[in-house]
Amino acid sequence: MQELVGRLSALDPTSGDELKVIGYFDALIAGAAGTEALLKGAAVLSGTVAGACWPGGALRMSPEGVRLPAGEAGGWPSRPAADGRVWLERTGPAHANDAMVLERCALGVSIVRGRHRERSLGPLGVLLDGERTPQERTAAAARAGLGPRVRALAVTADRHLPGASAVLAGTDGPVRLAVLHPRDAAPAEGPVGLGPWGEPAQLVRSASAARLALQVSRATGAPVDAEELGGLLEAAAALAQRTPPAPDVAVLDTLDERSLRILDVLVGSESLRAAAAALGMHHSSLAARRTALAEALGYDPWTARGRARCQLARLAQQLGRPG
Amino acid sequence: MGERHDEVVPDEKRTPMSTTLPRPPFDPELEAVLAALAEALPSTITPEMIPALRAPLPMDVPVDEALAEAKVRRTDHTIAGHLGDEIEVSVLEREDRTGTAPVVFHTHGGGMIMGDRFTGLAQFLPWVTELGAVVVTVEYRLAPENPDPYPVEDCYAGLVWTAEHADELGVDTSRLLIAGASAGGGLAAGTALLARDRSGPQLAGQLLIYPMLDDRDATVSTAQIDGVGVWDRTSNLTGWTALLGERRGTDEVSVYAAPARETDHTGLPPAYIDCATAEVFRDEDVAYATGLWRAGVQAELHVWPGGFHGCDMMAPHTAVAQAMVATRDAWVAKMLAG
Repeated sequence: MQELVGRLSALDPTSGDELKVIGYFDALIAGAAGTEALLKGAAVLSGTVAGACWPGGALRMSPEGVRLPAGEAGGWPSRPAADGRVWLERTGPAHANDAMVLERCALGVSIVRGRHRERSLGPLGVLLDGERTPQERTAAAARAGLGPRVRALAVTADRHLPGASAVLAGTDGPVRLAVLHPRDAAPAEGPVGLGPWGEPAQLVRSASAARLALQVSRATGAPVDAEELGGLLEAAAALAQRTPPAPDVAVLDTLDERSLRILDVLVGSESLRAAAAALGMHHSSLAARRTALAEALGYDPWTARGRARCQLARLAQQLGRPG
Repeated sequence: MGERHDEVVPDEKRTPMSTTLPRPPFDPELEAVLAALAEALPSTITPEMIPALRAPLPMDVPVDEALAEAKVRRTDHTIAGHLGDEIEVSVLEREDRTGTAPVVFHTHGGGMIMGDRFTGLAQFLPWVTELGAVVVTVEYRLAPENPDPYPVEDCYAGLVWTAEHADELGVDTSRLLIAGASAGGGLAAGTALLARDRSGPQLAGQLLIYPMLDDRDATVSTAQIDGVGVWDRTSNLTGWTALLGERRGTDEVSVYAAPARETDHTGLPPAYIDCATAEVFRDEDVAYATGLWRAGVQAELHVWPGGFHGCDMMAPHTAVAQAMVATRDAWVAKMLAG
C-alpha cells in the first residue's frame, strides 16, 4: 500500500485537490483537533515543516509528524491566526497548494486559540470580553447564574478576590475583574474600581468603566465608583487620550504634589474654611494659595464651571498616569 | 464528512449489506486523511479491481533505493515452496552486521490478493536498521490464482528454510519471531499453528499486526465497517473468496487458512496483537488474544482508538499511528533482545 506522505504532498491543484486540502482541515476542525494535528496536516500536505506561534507558545512539526524545536515565522510565508501566526518553511518557489494549506491551517489554529481562551477565561471572561457577541454573553450569564442587576469590580491583577474572578489584559495592562451583585460588598481598601450597575449584557461597559475607575483609584489610593462619576469619567477618558495632552491637563502636570493635594481639597470642599480645616492650614494662607493656583491654571476653579473644568482635567490626568 | 451511515433510509429500502450500526469514530487526524484520500483510497475493493491493484504504484520509492539508503543488504534465495515449487525469499540485514543476530520471518499483507514481499517495508525495515535483526521475507503465491493452501504453505516452507539455514544466515533461532500485517498477520498466525502442529520450527513469538483471521463475515466489527474506512467488509469478502472460493464460510476451511477457527490455542508462542477500533478485524483480533489467554499463552493486545485498518502505514504522521508503531516496536525490541 502507498504511504500517505507521498500521496498527499503530491496533490494537484488543477484536479480539485484544493478541495482535498479543505476536506482535510475541515475534518480536523470538526473533530476539535489541536494545534499539533493542524500543523502536522499542513506539513504533510505541503511536504515541508509547518510552524505556529502564539503568546506564550510555539510549535513546529515535520511532514513525518515529528515535533521540532520551536522557532519563529521569520521570513517564511505566513498568515495570522487569532493572536498567533502560522507559517510554512518553504525554500524555493511556493507549491500550488501552499496558500490554501496556510489559509486553512490558520483558520484551524484560530479556532483552537479561541477555544483555549474560552477555557482559560470561563463564563466570567466571556461576559467581560468586549469581542464576544451578545448571544455568547447572554449564554455565559446564564451559565454563571447572574441576577438581573450586576456591576463589574476591577482590582490589580495580583490581588486575590473571594469567588470567581478573571484576569483580562487591556491597554491598561492585566486587571482582575469580578462581577458584583447588590448583596456583595466591594473591597474597602484601594486601589479598587467599581463599574456602574446594569443588566448582565451591559457588563462589558461596566467593566471598562471599572477599569477606568481603578486607574483613578491607583492615583488616589481610595476606591473609586464609576457610578458616582457617571459621564465625567467617560469625558475624562476621552480627554486623557489626547496627544499632545490637552492644555488643561498639561498645566496640572506642572504642579507639585502638595499643590495638587490643595487643589483637590479646595475643589471638593463646600467652603474655604472647611478646606482649611481638612488641610490643617490657616484659612488666610490657603486663600493666598488659591489665588496663586488660579493664576497658574489660567482659570478660576472656584466658579461652578471652573470647578467642573478642573475636576475633569484632574481625572484625565489620573487616567493618563501609568498604573 | 463520512457520516454516510447516518442517512435516514426507510427500513424496506435497506439492502442486507448496508448498515446503520453505530461504530467507534475515527480519530480526527485519521478522519482528515480519509477525507483527503477518499478517491485515491476506496473503502471497498471488489474482485474486478484485483488486476489494477497489482499494478505498481508510480510513486513507490524503489525497494533497492530504500534499502541502499538504509544501508541494508538484500540477498535473494530461491527455495522450495508448497509442493516443491520454486518461490523467492529475501534476506535483509545491516551491511555492517557482525556476529549472530535475532531473526524475524515476515509474511506480507495485501488481502491475500496483492502486494509482494516488500509490502510493509516501513514496518519491518527499522527492525533491521535499529534493532539489528535479520529479516527473511517470503514471496508466497497470491490468490485467486493460487488459492488456499498455497499462501500459508509457502509461508511455512519459508519459515522451515529460515530455521534450517540459521547457521548459514548467522541467526539465532532461539530468537526467531514471525511477523506480518493484515493478510500477512493471518498467514503469520496460520504458519505459527502449522509450526506447532508439525513440531517445528520453534517460534519465540508471533507479531500479528491487525491480522486477517476470520473468513466467516459474522463479527460486529465487520458489519460496522461497511462502505467506510479502509479494507471494509466487501473488500474482506473479496480477499477471503479469492483465497477459499466456494469453501469460504463453510466447514471446509482449515484453522491454518483462517486461524479464528482454532479453538485450542495451547502450545502457541507468545503473541503481540494490535488493531484499531474502527476496522473489520477488531473483533476477530480481540477474540484471538482471548483464546491465547484462555490457553495460558502470553499475549499483548492493543486496540487503538480511532484508527482504521493500516493507518500506521497510510498515515504515519498521525498521533495514533505513532503510538501504535512505538508500542509495537518496543515489544519487538524486547523479544529480539532475548
